Amino acid sequence: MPFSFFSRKKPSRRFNDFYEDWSKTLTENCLPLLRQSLSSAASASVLSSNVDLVLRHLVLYYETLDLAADHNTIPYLLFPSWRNSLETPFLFLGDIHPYLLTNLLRSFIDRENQDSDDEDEETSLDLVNQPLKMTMAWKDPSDELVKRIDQIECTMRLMVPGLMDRMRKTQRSFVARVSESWVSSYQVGKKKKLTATVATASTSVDEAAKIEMEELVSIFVDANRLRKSVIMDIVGATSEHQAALFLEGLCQFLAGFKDQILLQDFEILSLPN
Amino acid sequence: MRLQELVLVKISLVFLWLIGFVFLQRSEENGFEEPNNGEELSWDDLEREAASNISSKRSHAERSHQHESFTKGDELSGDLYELWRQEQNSIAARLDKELKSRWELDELIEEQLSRYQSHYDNSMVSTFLKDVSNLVLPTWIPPHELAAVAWLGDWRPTSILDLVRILAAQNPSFSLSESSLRVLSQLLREIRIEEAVIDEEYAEIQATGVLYLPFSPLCNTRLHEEALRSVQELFGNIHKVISKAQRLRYKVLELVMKKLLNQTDTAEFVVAFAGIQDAIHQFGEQKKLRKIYPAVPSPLKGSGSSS
Repeated sequence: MPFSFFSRKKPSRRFNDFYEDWSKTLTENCLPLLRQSLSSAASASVLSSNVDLVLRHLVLYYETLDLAADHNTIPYLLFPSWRNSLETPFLFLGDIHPYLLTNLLRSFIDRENQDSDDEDEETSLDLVNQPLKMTMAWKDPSDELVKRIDQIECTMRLMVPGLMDRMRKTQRSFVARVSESWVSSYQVGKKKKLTATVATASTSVDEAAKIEMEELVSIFVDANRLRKSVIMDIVGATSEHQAALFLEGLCQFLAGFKDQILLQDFEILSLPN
Repeated sequence: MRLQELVLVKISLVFLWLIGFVFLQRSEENGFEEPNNGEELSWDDLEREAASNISSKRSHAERSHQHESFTKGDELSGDLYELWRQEQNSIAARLDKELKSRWELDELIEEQLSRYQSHYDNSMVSTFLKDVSNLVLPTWIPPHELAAVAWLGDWRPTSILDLVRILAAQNPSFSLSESSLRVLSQLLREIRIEEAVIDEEYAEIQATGVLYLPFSPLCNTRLHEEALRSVQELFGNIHKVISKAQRLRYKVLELVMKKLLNQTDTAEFVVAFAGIQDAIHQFGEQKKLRKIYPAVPSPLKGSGSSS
């Protein structure tokens, strides 16, 4: 694939380099921009343009992932070595789990609407530097918003099991194809008193893998489309303040995985018990 | 007169006898032995010859007797018996060898099963949090192999059962009965459900548990130690789910090798499982060597980072 880029004289670079830059931008530019916008000093238009900017940055990531995915590269994208060991266990088809997005949104709403006084006190610490319109952003959400979140969640809960099911079927049929050809070539080898023909086996693995990798690309692209559309749908369904808070939370979350101090501690932490 | 005549006859007889005797003596003295060797044989000779004739006849008789009944019974039967014994011993020795190799087969199967067990148990003795990450994304397995087969870091238990199904359908020496095939289908359904349950538990951690990480906007933890404890707890939960997946893999292998398949089929299964795993691993290694990494056009247009 890199050669095809060269032949068209289009410069290309490794996806992990792109990701590193993208992640750095998210932490160093996007997050401060949103925090700045959420401060009382920022105007509504600044808030709006910054929300748009951060949303575009997130969408860019998913679009670039799609561009990088083909039958040769898909394994690297599903199991990215550029993600650290703190985040790899949380990867669902190469990125955050789509449910995380609506769970994050619901948690904001739930936290603001809990009856407990203690909780209110605790959360108020979090938002002490934010203007009242921000702290109250999630208080008593409109019926329309609640309905829209339900719809987004409903669609997602139909899509996610479908993606997992396709992944399972693809892997199982790959193993079945390879097994079938291995068993039959082993039978032939046994009759001719030869050991299983390695060449036949490797050709059949290649052929079966070609079909599987194409399907994995399609699943991966669909998973990214889902993540991207859920983010866009949430931003579309919420007010600008709510959208800014949601994106800030999401960026904080994504940036948190790269926290060097936490990562250093993580490396030496042992399992409980 | 009569007496005189009688005496004369007697005298002449004695005389004749004497002449005959002298003649005989002389001929012996002159070394006339040819007549002895000739047709005129002595009684001794005759007797000796007769004796030898009898014995030869007897031995001939005996020999012919052996040919007819004792040959088949005694000497020849003795040979056959010896041969029969030898053949029996040889087959017994071969059977003994086969039995020993069958015990060896049993031992090998047991050894492999315990290897599977310790392999899947090893995940449970992880000590560090990063060990858990390595179980989900094992860095020592080529990415193409992971993408092709991995479910929580290893083969899907249902794929292991698929292999048994394929062996039963394609391998003529496989002797899976109708009832065993029904058990296999039932097992596939049950294991598929168990896989789905584990998927659900893991998704819960990825979508909800993750929100309790210290950097989450929803995490109220202020103290660093407390934050680290929440990470530990979360990874402890991931470890539990992965261990559950590992146990399910071993459970499937144990059921297949100990309950479902007979000894020979188990051996065939292990050979196939190892061969297929190896073929897929080799494929992964080859792809890794080609180093075709994900690439994107550069410079990037429309990046949010530009402003």
